[in-house]
Amino acid sequence: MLNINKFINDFSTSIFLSSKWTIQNFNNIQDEIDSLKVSNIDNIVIDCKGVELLDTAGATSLIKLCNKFSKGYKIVNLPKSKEKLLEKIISLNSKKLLIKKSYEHDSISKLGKIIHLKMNNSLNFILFCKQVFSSLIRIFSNSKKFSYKELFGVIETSGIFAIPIISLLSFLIGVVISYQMSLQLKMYGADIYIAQFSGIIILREFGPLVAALIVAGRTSSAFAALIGSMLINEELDALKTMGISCFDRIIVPRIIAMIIVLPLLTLISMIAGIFGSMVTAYFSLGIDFSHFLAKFYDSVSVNHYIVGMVKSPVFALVITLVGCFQGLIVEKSTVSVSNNTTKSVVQALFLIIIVDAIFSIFLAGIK
Amino acid sequence: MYVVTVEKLFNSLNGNPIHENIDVNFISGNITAIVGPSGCGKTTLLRTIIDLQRPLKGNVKIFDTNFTNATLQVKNSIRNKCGMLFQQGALFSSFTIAENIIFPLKEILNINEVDALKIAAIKLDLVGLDMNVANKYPSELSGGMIKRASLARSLALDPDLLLLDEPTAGLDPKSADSFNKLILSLKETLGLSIIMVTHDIESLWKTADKVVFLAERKLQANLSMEQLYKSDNKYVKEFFASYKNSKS
Repeated sequence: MLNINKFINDFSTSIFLSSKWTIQNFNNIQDEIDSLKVSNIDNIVIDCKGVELLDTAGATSLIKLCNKFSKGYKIVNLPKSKEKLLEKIISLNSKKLLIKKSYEHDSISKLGKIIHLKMNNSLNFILFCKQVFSSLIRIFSNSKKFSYKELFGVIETSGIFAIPIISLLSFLIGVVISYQMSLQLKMYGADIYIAQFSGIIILREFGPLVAALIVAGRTSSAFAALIGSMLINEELDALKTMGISCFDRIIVPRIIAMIIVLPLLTLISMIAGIFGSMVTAYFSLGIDFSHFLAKFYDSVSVNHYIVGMVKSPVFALVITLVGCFQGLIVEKSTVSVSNNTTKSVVQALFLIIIVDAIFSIFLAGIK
Repeated sequence: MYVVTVEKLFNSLNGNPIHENIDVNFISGNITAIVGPSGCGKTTLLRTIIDLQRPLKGNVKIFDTNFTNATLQVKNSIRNKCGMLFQQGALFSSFTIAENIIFPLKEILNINEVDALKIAAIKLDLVGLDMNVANKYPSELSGGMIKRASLARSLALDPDLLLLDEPTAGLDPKSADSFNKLILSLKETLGLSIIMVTHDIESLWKTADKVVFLAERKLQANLSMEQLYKSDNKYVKEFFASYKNSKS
C-alpha cells in the first residue's frame, strides 16, 4: 500500500500521504521518498488526511519528504495532536544532530595499540606478582588473619571435585599410551617392558601434565570469572573500604590451596594412568597385574616419581597467578569477563607446556 | 481507553505470595505511578506486565490484547510497542551508547546504520544528552546520564507504552527534577502512556496523573495524588506519615 500519492491538477501538485507513518514502516517510506520524482514546481501541498499514525520516525521521514521540495511546500490536514511532535522534530532537525562514528584506526595503529597493551599487561603482571609476594609475607607473619575457610573451600572445589574427571582422563590416557606402546613392543617380543616404559612416561610426564591441564581448564577460568565478576560488582572495592586486601583474602588462599591440591591430584593422575596401563597390558599383551607391578617396582626408579611431583607446585602457581591476574584486569563490560576467562585458560595451558618443556630439559639427567 | 489491564493477578516471589487478586487498569495517555512500602511487589507487578515474570494466575492485557497467554508472535509485536527503563539502566556494556540505541532498530526493523544513527541522534537529543555521549561506553557515564541513555534506547522503537523502574533512584534532587520534566515533556510531545514504579514522592506530585498503591499483597488504591494523600486507608497513611511529618 502506497504511503505517497501524487495528484497533479492545473493549479497545484498535491502529495497525499496515507497509512501508518511509523518506525515499523520506516524502510518502506524511505524507499518511496527516494523514488519520488520531483519537478521544479512551487505550491506543493502535502495532505496528511490519510495518515493513520505518526511517530518521531514518521515525522522525520515527513520532513525529509518536505526538504525535497526546494521551492516551498504546505502541510495541510495534520491532526492537532501531531503538530507539537512535528514542531519538535523540525527544531531538532535544524540543530543538525549528527552522531560521528569514532575514528577507526588503520592496521599499523591497531598493531601499535596491541603491542602497547601487551607491554602494559606484562608490567602489570610483574606488579601483581610483587603484591602476591608481599601478601604471602604478611600472611606468614600473622597467620591468625588467614582465611582457612577460603583455603578449604578451594581445596574442595578445585581439588576434591576434580578427582573423578582427572582419574577418568588419566586412566584413558594410560590406556591409549600403553596400547600404542604394546603394538610396537609386541613386534620385538619385548612385551614386559611395557611396565617400565609406560611407568616412566606416566610418572615423569603424562601424570603431572594431564592433571595440570585439566585443572588449568577448570580452575584458572573459575578464578578469572570469579574475580572479574567481583570487580564488576564492586565487591573488591567493598573489601578495600573495609581495609581487607583482596590479595590476603582471595588470591593467596587460592595459591596455597592449589599448591597443596595439585601434587595430590598429580599422584591420583599417576595412579590412574598406571592402572590404565595395567589394564591395557592385561588385555593386549596378556600380562597380569602382579607381573606388571613386579616389573614396575624393579625397573621404575622413584626418581621418576620425584621428577613428576617437582613440577606440580610450579604448575599450580602458574594456573593460579594467570587466573587471578586475568580476573583483576577485567574491564567493566560483560564481554571483557568472557574474553579474560578464555585468555586465562589459554595462557595457563600455554605456560604449563612451556614450563614442562623446561623441566624436561633440565631434569633429563635424573633417571 | 486502557493501555494496560491487569485481571485477577496472583504472583509469588521465591515461594512467598506477593500479589493476591490484583485488578487494576492503567489509563491510556496517563502517567500512572505504582507505589507502596518496600517489598509490596511494585517491581514484580511491572515485570509481570511486560512478561519478565510469569504470574501464578491472572491475565494482563496490553493495548486491549491478551498478553500473558498470547503466542510468541503476538507478544513480540506488543513488546515492540513498549519500552522499558530498568533501574540500573541495563545498557549493553560492550556497546557504545549509539550502538545501544540503534541495536533494536537494526535487529528488529533492519534499518540501515546511517538512518538508524540519524534516528538515534534525535532520541539522544529528546532525552537531553549531548552528541558526544554517543561514542562513549556505559562505564564512562555518570548515573544520571546512564538513565537518560537507557531512556533513549527504550524510545528507539517509538513505543506507545513506557515502563520505568524507579527512574529517579540514585539521582540528586536537581537531576531528579529535570528527569521528571523530561518525562512530562515526552508524554506531551509523543503522546506516551507511562507506568512507573517510584519511591520519590516529589515525582508523584509533579508527574503522576494516577497512583496505584500496593500493600499487603493487595491493591489499596488507584487514585489521583491529591485524593491519595487525603485517603483514610491505613497503609497509605502509614506510607505518607514520615513525609507529612517532615512537611509540617
